[in-house]
Amino acid sequence: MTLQQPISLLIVDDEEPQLKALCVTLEACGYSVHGISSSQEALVLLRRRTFDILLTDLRMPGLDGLGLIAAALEFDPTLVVVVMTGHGTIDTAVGAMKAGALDYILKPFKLSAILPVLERASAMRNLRLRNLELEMRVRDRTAELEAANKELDAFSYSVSHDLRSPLRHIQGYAEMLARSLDGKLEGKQPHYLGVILDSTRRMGALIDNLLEFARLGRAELRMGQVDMEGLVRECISQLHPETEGRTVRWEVGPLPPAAGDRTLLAQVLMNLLSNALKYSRTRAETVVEIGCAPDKEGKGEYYVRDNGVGFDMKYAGRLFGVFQRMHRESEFEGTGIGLANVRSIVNRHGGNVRAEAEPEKGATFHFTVRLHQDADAIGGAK
Amino acid sequence: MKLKRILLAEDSPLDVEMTLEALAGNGLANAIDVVNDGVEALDYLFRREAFAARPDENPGLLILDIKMPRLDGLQVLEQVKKAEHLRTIPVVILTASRQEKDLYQSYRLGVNAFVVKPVDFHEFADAIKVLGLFWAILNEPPPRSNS
Repeated sequence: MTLQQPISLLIVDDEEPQLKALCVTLEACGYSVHGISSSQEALVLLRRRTFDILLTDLRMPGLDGLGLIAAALEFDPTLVVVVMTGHGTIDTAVGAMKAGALDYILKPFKLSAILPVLERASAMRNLRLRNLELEMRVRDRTAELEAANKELDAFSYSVSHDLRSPLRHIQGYAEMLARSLDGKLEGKQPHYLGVILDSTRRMGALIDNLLEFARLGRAELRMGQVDMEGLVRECISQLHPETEGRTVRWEVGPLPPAAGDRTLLAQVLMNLLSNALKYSRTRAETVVEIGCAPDKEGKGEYYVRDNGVGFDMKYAGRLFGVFQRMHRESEFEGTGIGLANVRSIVNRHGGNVRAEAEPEKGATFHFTVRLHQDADAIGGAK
Repeated sequence: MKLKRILLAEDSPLDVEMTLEALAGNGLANAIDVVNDGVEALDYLFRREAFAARPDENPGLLILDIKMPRLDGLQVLEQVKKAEHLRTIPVVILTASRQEKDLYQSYRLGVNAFVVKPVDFHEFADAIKVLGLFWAILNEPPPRSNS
């Protein structure tokens, strides 16, 4: 059934002399031909073995051509059917094509007329087989992916449940020990206990962060129009506790609405805005600028710029990795999951992230998201 | 005021100990009955097997771990909410992990609260105390219709 093998033809015609002539001629042309004069028998044969092309008459006693076509295509949807029909029955030929035939040949026909039709039919057969193969490959891959996803589910459940429990116990029992020894600890003992407690707390945070990261990578996107400017303002008001006692100037440029998942995009903004605040807290005045530059492909490149401590671009490659940090824990707290979450969410939206920075001169984080296209909705939705 | 008993279904002896420790000091610890899996929890609630002689009184609060041998917490919850004389007992699911499908399933089955055991012991102790205080002391249960 590949290109190398001869194309196999099943010819069905109740006029035996014509059938025989056709078989001989087409065999000489390199086809592997099987002729049969009864449509009933043809059906039995089609059930037993596959052919590449079915060449059939339409008007036959018993099961007619249309019935044969329908039954044959049910056995093998990739079978290519060509019908032969007499003068004046174009209508029936059209009916046959509607039933799934690829082409028709008007009787009586010359070899020069039938060969191009069969060549086209052969090409179609190969195409259909390839398609089927691709479909099956896609189906296999999808099944593999689904299985992998299920495994990941089980894995994250195991991480969250089975890893967290012993950690909780270490923490709880160390805490109970500390309580019962309250006032009786000497020398470095309080320090030792303190480190145990701090480290378990930190590991708890890491596990929770890792789970959240895994969840984001698989969360279903609920796409819609997202008013990015409103969302930025919402995030800013939620960040109020972090700005208390500081001078912070927010410069929110006009932001076009994006097409995306509102909750997830809010998480992107929260991460970037709280980072901007965190790394600029040593400044007398913090300035955070949020803007957007639409590109040609209908995407918007949003950015968050701060005047904070920045970082050396030499290490920018690691910036968006899981648990990667640019600063020591003692300088700026955090586990280093935030930007990994940002990248994961933006990638899920078909966009990209990048950053520019210079030590002590602030940092700018860019992310692209498809813009919401419906111009009416911008003013009309509210 | 007469203190209602709290039934804690928890298979981890360490979690049991931590829970009792958390409740120590406010009088709630004495009011706790502990069972180690879902089957025992139902035996307790339906007053059968080892609990056949238990006085005919529902606990004021049922705290269920999800992952337990034999019958898990969700299955116990389902049975409790199906039983006419048990369905008014407030049920709190206290679990090690926040799984969305567990959350969804719990609320679908009529849970009253879903609490994830915090890693931090102080938070854990606080959560347990709040649960005990609220459900066993502050919350006014519905009157018993058949007594």
